[in-house]
Amino acid sequence: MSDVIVGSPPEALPSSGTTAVAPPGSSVLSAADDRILIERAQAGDRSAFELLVQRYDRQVLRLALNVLGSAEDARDVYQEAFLKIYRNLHRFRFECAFYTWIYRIVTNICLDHLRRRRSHPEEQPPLLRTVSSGERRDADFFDHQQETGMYSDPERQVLGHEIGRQVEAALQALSPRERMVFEMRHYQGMKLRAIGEALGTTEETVKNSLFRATHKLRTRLEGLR
Amino acid sequence: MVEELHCSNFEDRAILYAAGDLIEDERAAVEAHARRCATCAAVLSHEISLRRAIAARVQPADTLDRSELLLARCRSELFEALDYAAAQPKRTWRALVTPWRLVGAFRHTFVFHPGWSAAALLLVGALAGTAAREWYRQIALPVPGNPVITVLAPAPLTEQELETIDRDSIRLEPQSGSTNPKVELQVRSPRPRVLQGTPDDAEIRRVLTYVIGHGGQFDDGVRLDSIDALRPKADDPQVREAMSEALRHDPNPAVRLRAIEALRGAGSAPDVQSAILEALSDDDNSGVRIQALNALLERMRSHKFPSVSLDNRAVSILRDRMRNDSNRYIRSRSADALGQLASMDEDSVSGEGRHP
Repeated sequence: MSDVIVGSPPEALPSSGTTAVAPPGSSVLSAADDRILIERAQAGDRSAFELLVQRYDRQVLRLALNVLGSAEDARDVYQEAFLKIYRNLHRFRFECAFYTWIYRIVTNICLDHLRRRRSHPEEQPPLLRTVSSGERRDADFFDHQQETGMYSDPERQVLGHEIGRQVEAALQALSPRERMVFEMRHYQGMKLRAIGEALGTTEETVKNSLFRATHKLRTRLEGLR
Repeated sequence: MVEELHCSNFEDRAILYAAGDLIEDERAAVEAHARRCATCAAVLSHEISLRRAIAARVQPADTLDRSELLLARCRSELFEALDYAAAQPKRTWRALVTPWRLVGAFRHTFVFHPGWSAAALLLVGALAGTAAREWYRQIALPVPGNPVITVLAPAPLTEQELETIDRDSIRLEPQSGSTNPKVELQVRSPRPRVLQGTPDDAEIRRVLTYVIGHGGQFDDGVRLDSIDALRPKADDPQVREAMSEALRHDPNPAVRLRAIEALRGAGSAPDVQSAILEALSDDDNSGVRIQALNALLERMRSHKFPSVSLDNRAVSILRDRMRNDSNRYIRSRSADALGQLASMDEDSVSGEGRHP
């Protein structure tokens, strides 16, 4: 049988995400590497494009999962986004960072999904439930695993789940754009300017969206005070 | 320059402060103001608690794809789609003069000239009618020396005919409102003919199972489409056997993965379980092994298959995976499965005790 085509899960499990994740391209990847890969991909080198996908797709999928809360929708967004990127790669002129360009495409698709969902609320997936200690018997294998940090303390864990549930419910009440800004700022760790570039707007507008989102959240999470 | 800070604009600053979006001077100004004003200090403290609550949220991505199987699947599907796109013929000038494009080009004119529009429609209708009549005569009447037959109820294909089929001979088209795709098959020799039908037809099923079982003769896309087409028929013994064979021998891991997914609906037949166990034990692709393990656990737990139990061979394979698999996820999940098996045994023993 031939070798790996389908990627296998990594040996180390990703940590539970209470930390904000830096935007793609900010870690070990350099813009120069990206440029070489992009130029090769633009010249038709499929393996270069696959490398670019593997550099950015984890963050893209994460964003889609967090914003849409549904594996199926996130899968659709992933496919649509990267096929669009593939088809339009020849139009990328290095006028902005590559990840900004990718995020512009991904956020537009996510926003479309969110808007569609608002106009058809009956199609909305159920609110993602976090698993409480009493429900663990039917939960997935990974929910049985010992966690470090706050998750090793049962009391904090229950509290964390409760807070998470309330935050999740409050996030659902935001408008698609506010939701997107909030997600990119707080969970993707992007700077306001980068969010503005990705959404095709100014830093000031992003800031206002963030203020509105925070006000709404604060009202809804009054009980956590 | 740092904007002057008052109680009136403190709240927005506090939001940016808590989010870490202020430069050092701005942060110092916020802190200094909070020290002077108790109300603003409370606002700042509230913002910081809110930020902590937000950070404490377990993100859906961590719950929905903690093991990154979804990511692996997305990648696999994307690369398949790219393969498919690359295999499509490139657009040429001919694509620019397709009937639809012509209609689009003339539409604007027609809107403003309804008379012309009516005349043109009549002309198009007459031409289409003539062409259709001619086309029907050609396909309805056999030409001497080159007979072509369209059969809607396909006659059985011989083994020799099956061997002549290749990727260009078979076409699977999804039908709206139905999970069954329409399958069209062109048999070129020794007697050219066209077979049409859906996987509900036994002969079409036979062709599709042949496709699945012959990895070298057909490309990956056709094999994947054939598996998808046959998935609703997975409880058919012929289909089940073909899927199991694909799972054992197909050279492409994506096809093997798809075969496992299809076999999930194949009932509790022992041959299915055997194929899944072999994949778990012998497949060199960790993604396939993971899917096999998941399918096995699903079968074990499912109320649909109350008769599925794991025999000694399965237990020994699970033990082997728990100890020796190179993938940590498989090792952990195998251990979990063995634990569940042990608890199920205990339950059944205590259940027997209660109800002798």
